[in-house]
Amino acid sequence: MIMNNISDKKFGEIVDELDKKIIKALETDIPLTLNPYQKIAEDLNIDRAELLTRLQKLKDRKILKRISAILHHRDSGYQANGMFVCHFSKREIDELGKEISELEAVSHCYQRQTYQNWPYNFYAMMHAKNKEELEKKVNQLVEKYKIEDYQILYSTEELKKTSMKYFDCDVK
Amino acid sequence: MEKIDNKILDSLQTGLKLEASPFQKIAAELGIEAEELLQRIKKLKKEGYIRRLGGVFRSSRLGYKSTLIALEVEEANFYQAAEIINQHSGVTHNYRRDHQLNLWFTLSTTSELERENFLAQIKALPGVKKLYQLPKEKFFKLNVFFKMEEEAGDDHE
Repeated sequence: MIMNNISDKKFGEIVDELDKKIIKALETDIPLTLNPYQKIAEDLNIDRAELLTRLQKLKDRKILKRISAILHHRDSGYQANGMFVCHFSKREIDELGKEISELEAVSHCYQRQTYQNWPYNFYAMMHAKNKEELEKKVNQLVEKYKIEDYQILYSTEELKKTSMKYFDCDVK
Repeated sequence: MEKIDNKILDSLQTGLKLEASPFQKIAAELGIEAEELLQRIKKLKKEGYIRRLGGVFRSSRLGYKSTLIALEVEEANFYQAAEIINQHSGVTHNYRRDHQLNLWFTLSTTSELERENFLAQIKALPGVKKLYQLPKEKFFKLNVFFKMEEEAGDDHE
């Protein structure tokens, strides 16, 4: 289906085929062996030195952040996870957004697009041991900044949580 | 969990060096044998502390744009819709929320067309009453206390 005024131009295509294969090899788990890069290189039919050079280049180009562990966060003591939403004026949002994103119960915040029936432009991801504690934090927050129109949307079920799988169509 | 395991998690979150034997390096820093380190990592994975040990990429630098989508879906069709949404490899997070807008997911695609085609398909699913695209206009820095939640594909930057 082709729609009017919708661009099919790719947002950007930056890496070559070998880089794509390397990225695919690293987007799941690396081998837990003494020389994990050796094993990955062998699977890709390249030298370990070439793999490491390529990885360094991907890092230099800020495509690869790092090779590291991703932990489970639901298991780390926060039973209540709520998305707090409210509306700030253009004037308020930069300053308050920064302040709120530094609160202890807040992991990160976004400013997002709004709609007539969904006027909230500010989102704070909040975490606490339970709902009561989270609501206490929210009450403090809305009192301090005199926020009247706000909502808390609790996540009640994780339907999917995974790492991105890249180049789905074009790499085998 | 033993003290040493916490140190291992800290170290693994900071990242592996790009050199031949990165685990050897970490083991030496922690004062244990590399074999013990690998055994402990396997155990931490098995027990669910580590979800993944691999590359963390910036999807925006790989030509992907990501957006948040909020849906109102009728309860009777909820899981059917969720299942179809989850099949898209660009959907990395999908949550039910206790609200009229009851299904929230993130979608990364390599073009506007791919995004709009997929969302048109979602809009047409039975029970889907409303769909909002909520692209981010600004991201406020990740709080240092929550460093552990950072995730590939979230692309906070």
